[in-house]
Amino acid sequence: MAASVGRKAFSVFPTNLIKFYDYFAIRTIVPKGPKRWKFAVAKQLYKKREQAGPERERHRSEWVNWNYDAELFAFGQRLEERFKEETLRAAFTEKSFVERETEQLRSLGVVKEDGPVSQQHNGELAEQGRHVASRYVKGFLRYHYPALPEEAITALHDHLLSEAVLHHVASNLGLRDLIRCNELPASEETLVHAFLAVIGALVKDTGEKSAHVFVQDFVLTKLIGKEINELWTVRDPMGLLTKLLRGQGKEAPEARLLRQTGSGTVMAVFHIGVYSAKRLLGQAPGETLLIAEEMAARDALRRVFGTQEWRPPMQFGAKGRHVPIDLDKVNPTIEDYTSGRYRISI
Amino acid sequence: MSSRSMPSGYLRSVLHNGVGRYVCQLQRLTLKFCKERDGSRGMRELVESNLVDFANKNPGIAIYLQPRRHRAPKLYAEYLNGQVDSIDCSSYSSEEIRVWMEYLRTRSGNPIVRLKRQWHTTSPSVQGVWHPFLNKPSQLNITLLPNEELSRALAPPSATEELLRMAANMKLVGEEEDKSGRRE
Repeated sequence: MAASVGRKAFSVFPTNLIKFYDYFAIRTIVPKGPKRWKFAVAKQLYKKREQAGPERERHRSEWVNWNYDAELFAFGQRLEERFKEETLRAAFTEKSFVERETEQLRSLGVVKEDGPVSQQHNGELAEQGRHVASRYVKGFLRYHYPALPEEAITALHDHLLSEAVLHHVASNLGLRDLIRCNELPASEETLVHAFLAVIGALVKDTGEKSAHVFVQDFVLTKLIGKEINELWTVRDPMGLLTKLLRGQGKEAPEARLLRQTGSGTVMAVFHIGVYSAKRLLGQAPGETLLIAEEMAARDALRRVFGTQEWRPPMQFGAKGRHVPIDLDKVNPTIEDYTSGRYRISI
Repeated sequence: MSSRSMPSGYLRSVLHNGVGRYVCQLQRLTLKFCKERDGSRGMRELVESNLVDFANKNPGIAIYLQPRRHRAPKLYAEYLNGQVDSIDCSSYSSEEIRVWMEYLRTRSGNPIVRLKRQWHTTSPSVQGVWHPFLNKPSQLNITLLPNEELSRALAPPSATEELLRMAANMKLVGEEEDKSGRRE
């Protein structure tokens, strides 16, 4: 009896109520809301993770799917070049890395007989690569811009072989993971060094011709879409044009107004043409007369030096392989043109 | 739906790929699979049958096999420009996985975005961009406006004018016939 009384007391709330609801078919289904405590926990975890700081920088080789020999082989095959394994390995090894390794081995009492140290790192290869690339870049530019002064060729060459441009090429060729150096991540300088060393390795293993083609395919293509006249600007175009015409025995330049509209308003446009002996050399529009005159002189210089917008594009690919380049030829300087030593069609 | 959730961009290539030589942009391909579970069956079949051919045909791609117990099979691709992409291949047949491998092999590695233009060019205008003075007679520059000649309406000849012109032509033809003495 006592047990049944106890049982009844405990079972009052759940079972009796459910029976009551079932009988009258009254049931309200309340959806379970979001657990509000979850958001608070997540917020705290996020805060702790932020305080702990970012993940440490890891080299690609720390992951399980890495095989350096396979990567080196794939690098050469991807570029369709036949590298020798030792040369490629040396091209990707920095001098500081070799020094640190030998130091570590020496401290452990191991003396390695690997060959001369200079062949284990990329110092020499990078130097040779830069020299070959530099000569070819200038030769290629001189072939495509025969009338362009040497100062401009040098400016374009300096831009193409600048650290910024070479770094962009190197980081998109998959060199970053292959370089063996002490710093992590590899610096811009190291990347550029390795890239030039790859060119040097090409010269050593396959010859200068394939190195030239490599430079054409990856370095010179960086000029595509670039405005030559932005990379080399003339400070005083009208002055230079005057000197050029005088040096070449032509009449002095004369600026004439060709078109104008809206003068005195905000939307003014003046087209000015620069003439020499009544022959039109160049024309351009401008917001004011002075601006239009300067732009017309610039237009004339572009036509003279062959850097107009509509000039035929540089030859790459199949055509570029057969471009007859003279590596020893030098373009005339501005001084040569203005003194009259060299002719230019103006 | 919005432009922020679905990014857009222009058509790009990596380092003008193809202008000089074509370089396969896929640097590394990792095949992750389970040795036991059924979801990786297609992947295991592929590894046994097609993978060596694929590796031989593409020596420029470093291919890794990563068995992971009781995990879903995945294709993990790493590109030369640093981009990575993975494709979950759970319960795919080996044929399907082969198709996806081909897709990964031929990608440029640039992020997949809605293209604002389906073309890209560095020389949009060869003859020069049009401006209002192009092909206009230079006489206009020394013309004082308003000008009677230029202000005249460029209307086509009216029917009366046309008939008069035809009559004048016929008259001339008739005069020539009389002179030659021939009649039609």
